[in-house]
Amino acid sequence: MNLIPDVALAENSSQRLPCVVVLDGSTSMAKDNAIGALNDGLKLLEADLKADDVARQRVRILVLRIGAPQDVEVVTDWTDAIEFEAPEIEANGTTPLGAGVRRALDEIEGEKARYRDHGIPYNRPWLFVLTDGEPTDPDWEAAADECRQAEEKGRVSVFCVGVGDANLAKLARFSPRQPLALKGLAFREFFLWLSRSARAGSQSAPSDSIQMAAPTDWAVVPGRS
Amino acid sequence: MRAAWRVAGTSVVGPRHAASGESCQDRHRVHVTPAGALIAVVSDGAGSAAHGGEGAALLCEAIVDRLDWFLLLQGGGAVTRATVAAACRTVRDAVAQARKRASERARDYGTSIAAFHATLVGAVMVPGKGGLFFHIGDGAALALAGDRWLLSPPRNGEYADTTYFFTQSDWHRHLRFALIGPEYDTIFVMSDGVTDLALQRGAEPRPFLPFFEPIGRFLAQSSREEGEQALSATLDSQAVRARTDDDKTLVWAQAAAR
Repeated sequence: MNLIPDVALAENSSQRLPCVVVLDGSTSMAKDNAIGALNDGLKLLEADLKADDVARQRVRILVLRIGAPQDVEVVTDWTDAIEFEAPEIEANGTTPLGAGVRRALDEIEGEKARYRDHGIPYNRPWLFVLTDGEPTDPDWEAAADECRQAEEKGRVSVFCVGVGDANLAKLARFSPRQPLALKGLAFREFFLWLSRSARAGSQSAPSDSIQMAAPTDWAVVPGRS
Repeated sequence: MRAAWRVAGTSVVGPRHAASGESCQDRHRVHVTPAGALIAVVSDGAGSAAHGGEGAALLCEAIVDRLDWFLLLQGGGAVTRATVAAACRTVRDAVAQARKRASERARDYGTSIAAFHATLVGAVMVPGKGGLFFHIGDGAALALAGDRWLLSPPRNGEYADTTYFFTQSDWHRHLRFALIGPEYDTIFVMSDGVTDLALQRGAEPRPFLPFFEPIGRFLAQSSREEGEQALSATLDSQAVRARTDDDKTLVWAQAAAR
């Protein structure tokens, strides 16, 4: 088939999908080596994202750990999926979830501002929160309200995931979306789902709905047997 | 008598829809009235909507029908403030009519009008007298006159993966118009799959002329059939597929030298 000769394509930087993962690094995560399963899952997330041509250019990741000695620790600063190296999460400390989520929301607004400064288009950011307990910081409820409002104003899409004995009722305060409970220690399946969803979400179809795989491999929806 | 406009247009299914066995959700219509006016319209049905392509088709049809009538009633008269205002009203009426049809079909299908989400971008032009761009959401329309250009740029809101549709209840707020001066003789209208390749982003998007100029030259020298085949092949080339997996529509029209 004949092509039209000499047609040049404009060089535009790829659009981005910012994605923050807040991981519970509290002491209880050592139980049944949940932390080991979580770290294996992160490695899988790295491999799976890098294997996708579009996602590795578009997805930008920030990983925050909550626990001790710092309440909130940046374990992986904003990085393109193509350069993402799975961090090692330690189990030590309490669960200052409110502080973790506040930091995540700040980081997201900062990242958006950088995109705007450089004329880079972006998709609605995603925030994943994963815990096996319940928030331990005193003003977590205010932080949960801020998080829920950020979602309601369209600034971010928030997904909460509970592991083991996580307090799902408290987790539900962080997002209008129902929190999901991880089946056992199915971190592998969860991170694969996250990667696949990020791959779908990093595509540019005009859409007013989030393109997500059904989370059936790894999650149980509370209230359904 | 020579035709008032040379026209060509194509819609190419994107690799993402092709891979999943889905059809193209873009639609386009290009129509030249007996009096020599041009109507060119492109609509991109939302990938997330079940009947996006159908919504796009309804919308293109309503726009062409209404504007055709309007131009017939108006005759070949001058483009004045009053006729421009009347043309804007005609486009609004056409969108309202397409919304009515989409709502009726939604009832038949047991769904809502949101299943018919589609964008709108187009131009209506009377050669030598000027015309009008009309636009809801992303995609773009471009008018050229030698080195001069006029662009109706995409609007997405904050996020690149969202845009505005004729099916939204606040569509009135998102419908934009721009006047096209009488000196412009070439029109391109495109869906968002093409804007990625054809516009330079920045605070104010600009057309990337090394994309448009070779296409315009080639189409002006080809038969419509040959031109459209080559245009489809170009929009589905390896280089383009590597850059975007979206559906792509490009419509071109050039006024005959008078």
